[in-house]
Amino acid sequence: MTGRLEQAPSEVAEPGGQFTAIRFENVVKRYTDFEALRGVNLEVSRGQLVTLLGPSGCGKTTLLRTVNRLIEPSQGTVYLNGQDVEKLDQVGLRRGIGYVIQSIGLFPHMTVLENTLVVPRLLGWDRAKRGARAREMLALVGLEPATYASRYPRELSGGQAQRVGLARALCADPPVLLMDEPFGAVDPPTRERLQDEFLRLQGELKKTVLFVTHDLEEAVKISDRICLMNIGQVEQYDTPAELLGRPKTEFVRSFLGPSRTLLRLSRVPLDGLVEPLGVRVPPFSVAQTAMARDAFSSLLAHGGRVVGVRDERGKVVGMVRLESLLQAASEDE
Amino acid sequence: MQSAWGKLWLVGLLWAGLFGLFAQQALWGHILSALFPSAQTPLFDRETLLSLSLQHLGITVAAGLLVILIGLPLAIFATRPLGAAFRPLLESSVAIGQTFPPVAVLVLALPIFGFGSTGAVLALFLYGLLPVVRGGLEAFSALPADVLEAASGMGYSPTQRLWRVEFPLALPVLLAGIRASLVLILATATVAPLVGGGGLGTPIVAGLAVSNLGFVTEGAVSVALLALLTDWTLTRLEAVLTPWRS
Repeated sequence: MTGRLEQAPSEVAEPGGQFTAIRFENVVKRYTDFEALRGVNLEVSRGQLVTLLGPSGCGKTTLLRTVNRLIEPSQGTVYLNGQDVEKLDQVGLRRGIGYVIQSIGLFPHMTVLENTLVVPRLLGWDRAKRGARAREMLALVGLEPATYASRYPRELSGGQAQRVGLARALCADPPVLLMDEPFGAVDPPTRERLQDEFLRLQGELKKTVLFVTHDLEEAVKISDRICLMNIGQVEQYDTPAELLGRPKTEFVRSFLGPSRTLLRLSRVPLDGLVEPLGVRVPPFSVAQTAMARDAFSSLLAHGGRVVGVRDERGKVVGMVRLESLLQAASEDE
Repeated sequence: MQSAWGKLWLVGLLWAGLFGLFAQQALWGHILSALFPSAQTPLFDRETLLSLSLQHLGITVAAGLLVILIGLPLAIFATRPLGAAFRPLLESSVAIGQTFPPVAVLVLALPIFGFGSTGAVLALFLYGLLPVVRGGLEAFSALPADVLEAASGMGYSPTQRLWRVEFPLALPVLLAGIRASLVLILATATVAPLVGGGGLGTPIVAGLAVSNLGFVTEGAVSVALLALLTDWTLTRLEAVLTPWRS
């Protein structure tokens, strides 16, 4: 993951180059009494997951909606794969973009299957093809088609509904996904599970994703790059590690808050910090695949200075010291 | 959907049963004689009950269809961005349509349409327009905003969104308006005989004129039965057309 991130700047070096999927050029949105966007310039590379992060009213959702033209900018241009979206047919543009919103907006009068194949139907795929594709998508998001296909949205839990929303957005295989706080309305454990599964999917599908959230932790967890916004402007656009490590403005520093050090650990894999076991095996352990933050939480919870690391069979094979965790957290500062 | 229509068989059976009952002229005669022993002829005998009820239903259906065919498009138009300016006008005109007493409309229409059921249908149409138009306006304005946003975001064109998303979601409220309107028209259609429109109002008007409570009862009970069954039919129809609701 880190390797891919480090390549990113060279990919976007050339403005509007072939690796740029979405480009905002001096985008301004003015309403009668206020300016929602005050000249946003931003490039999203193909296959990257970029979050638009910021407090309520910072313009992140407005910016997202200029891509599928649910909002038309007052000034400036949005390019999708090098094409000015304003010059594209609005309906065709939207059918080519996956769209997920917080309230999900499943069609209550359609079954789960019908909801999922909405875009392929609009695109005129034949019945057999779109049905098969929709079932495949439901299975992909973890909903057994045989069980769920004929249910109506009111029969679903919040988490299940959000999965259907994701399956619906992915069904026509759009290269670009717009997600507006998609996991904002579900309970925390479900949110975390949905995030994990979405990350796994994104690892396979490599969509270009523009993801709106106000949740710093979520942004740090899932993003290739984070665009932190405030009052209609971009404050900082960086990888999570850079953003947490080198906040550029006072706003960024205060938005990240004191927990930013801890958050950095949630992006650090344990691998590099593991040492061989000493004479004493630590009484508690975390999985080898966990992040540094999990090890740190475990140390805090148990009040120790050393935590064991276990392999997939549950055998403790190494250990991590508190000192190495603290060092990893403060690196580059 | 095929299985859904299968659920309507009971509705068909009850309609057949009701008209079967209306056809039992002798039975009605016996019952009304028992109820009003003093009356010489307790059952209206110039026309059969079956023929009166069919006339009544005919007037109701004609006025109801007019209401739906004109009222619904008006409501849909007024809830589009293009027709939004037209909405207050529409709301007040249908309200005025209902404040006009149907009897007055009937008499005013008499010189234009003459004697017969046309004037009656027109008066009932004006009277029944309000629930359908108001229901339609309400139905199309109260749709969940997130669903509409999702529909536009998915790439439904405005027309596709109207027919494939808005209309099905508005259907429960639309049908409630249509139900209210049909029952209203059905009950009010008893004034039709004043301009020669026929129907179940005929024995009622005649009964009032000659103080024959048997006639009045015959007409009133039959109208009530028709109204109940119409109401129930539309309730069933709503259940069949909107399986996605609990």
